[in-house]
Order: sequence, then C-alpha cells, then structure tokens
Amino acid sequence: MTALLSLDGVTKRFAAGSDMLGRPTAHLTAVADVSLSVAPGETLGIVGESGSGKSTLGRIMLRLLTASEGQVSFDGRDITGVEGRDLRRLRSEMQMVFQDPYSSLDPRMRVRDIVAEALVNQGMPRRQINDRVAEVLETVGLSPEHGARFPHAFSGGQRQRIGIARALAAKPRLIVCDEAVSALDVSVQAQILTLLRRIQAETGVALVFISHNLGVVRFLCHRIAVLYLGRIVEIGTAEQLFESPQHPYTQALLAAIPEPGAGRGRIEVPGGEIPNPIHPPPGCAFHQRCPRMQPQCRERRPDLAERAAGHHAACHNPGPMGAETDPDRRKDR
Amino acid sequence: MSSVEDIPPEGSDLALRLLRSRNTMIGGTIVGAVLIVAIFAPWLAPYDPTEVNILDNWRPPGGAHLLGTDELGRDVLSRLVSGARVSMLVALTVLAMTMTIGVAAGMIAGWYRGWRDGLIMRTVDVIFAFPEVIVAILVAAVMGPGTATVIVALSLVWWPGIARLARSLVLQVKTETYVEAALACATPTWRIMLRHLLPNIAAPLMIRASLGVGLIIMAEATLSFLGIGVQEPRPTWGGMIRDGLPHLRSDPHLALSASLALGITMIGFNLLGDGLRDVLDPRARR
Repeated sequence: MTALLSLDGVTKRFAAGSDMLGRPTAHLTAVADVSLSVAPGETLGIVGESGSGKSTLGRIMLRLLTASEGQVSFDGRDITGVEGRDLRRLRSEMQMVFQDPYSSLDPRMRVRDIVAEALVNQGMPRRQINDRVAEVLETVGLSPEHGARFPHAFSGGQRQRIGIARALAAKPRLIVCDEAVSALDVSVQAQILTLLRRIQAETGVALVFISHNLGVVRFLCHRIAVLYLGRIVEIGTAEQLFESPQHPYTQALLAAIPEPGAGRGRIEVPGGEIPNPIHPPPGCAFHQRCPRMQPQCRERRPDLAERAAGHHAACHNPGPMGAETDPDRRKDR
Repeated sequence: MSSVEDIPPEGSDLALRLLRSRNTMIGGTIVGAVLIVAIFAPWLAPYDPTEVNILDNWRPPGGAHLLGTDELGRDVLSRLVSGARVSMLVALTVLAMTMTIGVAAGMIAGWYRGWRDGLIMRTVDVIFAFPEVIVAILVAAVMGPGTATVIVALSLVWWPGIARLARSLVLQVKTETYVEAALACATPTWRIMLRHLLPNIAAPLMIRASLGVGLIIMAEATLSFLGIGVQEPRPTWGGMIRDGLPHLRSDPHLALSASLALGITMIGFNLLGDGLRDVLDPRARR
C-alpha cells in the first residue's frame, strides 16, 4: 500500500504570548510528533476533544499551516516546505470541507462562482468551468440552476453541499473534512455523510474526516486515529477501535456515545478538562484523568506500540475495556 | 429543496429597502439636485458669475437678480450655482483619491500585518496628529493657493481615516472561513483582496464615503474662506461666505445664501449616509 499522504513526526507549535519586541515567551504545542498515512481511496477518521489539535493537523495536511517539525509527503513527494507556484499547483490535488457552512461561503459571491474558484485559479477555459460546475452541483444533489443564487438562499445542509461541491470541483485526490457535519441537524448530518460515502465510492477520493463525534466517524471511516493533546493515543481500523479499544481514553470516548448506536453525544471523560497545552503534564498526557493510572504514567510518556496488526496504542497499561473498574484506586487519586 | 425556488432574486429586496428608507430618499434627492446643478451650472446660471458690473452693485434680492448682486455687481444666484460646481468637483475628486489610497493602504496593512502594517499605521497616526487646516497651510506654502492645493491638502488629511476603517474591516473579514477556503483553492492574494475582501467591506466604506463628502465640502469652504483655497474670480461657497461676512448687517443675503447652500448640501449627504447605514449595515439596523 503506497500512501497518498503521509505525516512523519509532525509537530506544530504556536507562539503563546510575546514580549515587548515581539519575541514569543511561551509555546503552545498543538500537534506533537504525529505520524500517520492515508491511502488512496481510504477514509481516515481523526477524533478528539476540542483543543486536541485535530483541526491544526488537518490544516497541516493541506499546507494551510506549515509544520514546525517533521515531514509531510503527498504522493511520495515531500511537500513540507513547498511555496509559491508549486504550492498552488498542489492545492488542486487536495481540498477542504469546512465546519461552518455559513462563514465558509462568501456571501457576496454566486454559488457557481464559489464552486468555480479553484478552476478559475487553474486557468481552465470558461466553457469547461461551466460544465464542471453544473456537473459537481448535480453530484452533491443540487441543480445547476442553483448556481445563479447567493449562499443566503440556502439552508445549512444545502450550504454544506455547496462546500462539498467546491471541494470536488478540481477533482482532488484528498479531501479533508473538518467537522463537516457537526454544525448540522442530525437528520441532515445523515444525508451529508451518505453523500460523502457515495462520492468516495464514485470518485475514489481519499478522505480525512475530522470529528469529535465517534458515531459519525464510525459510519464513514476505514481507519481511525484518536488524538489527545496533540498526540495520537490510539490508531487502528474502525473495527479494531470499536471492538477492542486498547487505550483508556478511547474506551472513555466509546462509553460516552449515547445508546442506541450512533448518536450526537459530545465526548465526556470523567476527571475534567483536557490539560493546558502550554504546560502539558509530565509523563502520559492523559494520566490525570486516567482510571488506570500507574506511578510510571506520571514520569514516562508511553510510546505508540503495536497491539495488533495495524493497531497501535500509546499506553503503559493497555487492555480491553472494563479492566479499570477498581473503585478503590479511583478514590485514591 | 423546493424552498430554494421561493426566494426572490437578489437585488430587488435591496432596492425596495432603499426606496422605503426616508433618510436615503430625502438625502438622495438633495444630493441629486446639487449634482444636477453642478453639472449643468453654465446653462442654469442666469448671468456670467464672473461678470463685473459696478453700476449694478449691492442690489437686494428680487427683480432682475433673484438673489441680488455683490459689491462688484456680480449676480449672486449665478455665483451660487457655479460654486456648487467647484464644491462638488473638489469633493468628489478628494473622495475618489482618499478612497483609493485609504482603502488600498488599509487593506494592505490589515492583510499582511507585520512591517507593512507598522509603516502604514504609524504614518496614519502622524497625519492624524496635525489639524487639517495646518496641513492645508503647509501644502499651500509649498504649492501656492489654488484648487489643486485644496485637493492635495484635503486628500492628505482624509485618507488616514479611510485607511483605519478599511484595515479594521479587513481584520474582521480575513478571519472568515471563506477566506481560508479561497486560500485552499490557491486563489492569488490580489484576487482574494478584490473578490472576497473588497465586496465584503464595501458597505461600511460607502456609508463612510457619503458621510465624508459633507465634511469635505465644509473643509473646502473653510479653506476658501481662509483664502488658501480656490482663487478669484472662480466663485466658491466658502469664498462667498468670506466676502459676504463683513456686510452681514447691511446685505445679509450675500453670506446667508452661500451658507444655506452649504448647509443643505451637507444635510443631504449626511441623510444619505445615515440612510445607507440603516439599509446596508445589518448590525446598525433596529
């Protein structure tokens, strides 16, 4: 399996606060040492709470942000530092669907111009652009006549379809969906997810689906990476992750999905908030909230270790769900 | 998806709201009338505004001269009508220059930040520190008094305000996701500025422009009043007020007619600006 996109040891730091001369005084590590790959035609889910660095990671993949460390490769080519003309050519290969269907469409542009933007930038002839715009509008379940309207005439779900049409227009090989359905009603979410799955089946595009909602991810994704404080804590196939989660954080996330089945529950983990990424805790970042915490978790960060073929977890004390239910130890903390 | 079909096309709604807004209609009518007078001044003026007729001076309003004559016997109504032309010419030229320079500078500062922002905004601060009359006197000292001096001086003083507004608007709009989406589509910077930023900051800038015209006309009159503006024999409202002021007791129509024209024009532009704000700026509505 040759990877379409691969990340190797990618870290992204942001300056947090600066002194009088504009020199940063502290750093916020949004993404830390992430390595993963996306195969052609595959859907990779990236799951995590707010502040886990999943949106930052998605933007690094598309080179909307540049990694502080590590390497990003697309189609076997190192794209970590490409600039200018090369970067612009790369843009047509990878696209993004944004979370907010309202602010992601320019209110002063007609839908057909929004969808055509990437094609215009490529210098495609006008006639071809018109044909392609009509084609993708139909693909996402709108009619070409809708192209003459402005975004305010559409509902949230329709707007997200326009956003998907825009992403599809240039025939990219990778689309990153950043919380692409979380702003929508549940019934509309299902329509959009079905649409994305159909588009992938028809076009063979690779998807990276970023979400805080495990139920949504399960429906769509072949493989899933769980992010906590900028690091991958567990990664594996959807089946591995849902049937035999190894990391206590993943298990907590799964337990938070309301029954029955895929719901809209937000992730809730006992033991409070995600730690401050400017001052991450020593050892395992999850140890303060972990029901299976051991002394070594406070001192040494666990490596991502293989638990089964293609299934990795970063935990000193991995194991199936339920092993942690020792009420006395929970009280001690 | 049938609900999409029911929505009326863009534009008709906006036109309707403009028509319903009383401020916009009254202000627009006044501004339109002044513009028509300014454009057709040579044909509307009953006399040559610069023609001196000493034998016919100090006429009160009425008779052959509807608004009387001044100390040189020139027809006041004709001078008023021609003055509208000078005022509007100066105001619109200054407006065009300040909008171009101010919007471009503000957008560059807001988009790029960094050293460009620092350079532009510190320049703006320095200009803001000078009162406009002082700047005008400085410019007049270099260029000598005249119409060009007024235009240069007022442009110099007015663009920083526009630049500040444009910069703050760009700072708001550039965080919108559609700008990021444009970047992800490989849209070049100049096109992002022209196609995404400019249309989305245009409404507040237009409001600012129409409110500003009134103040520019006023400033032009002030400079002409001080004698560093448009020079004789071209009639201007400011110059007419200046010349009429010593005779306010004996011949009040000289200063008052020009003051009234200035006042009504300013009210017109302010009403238009207020009306546009009500219609175009959703945050200010209600």
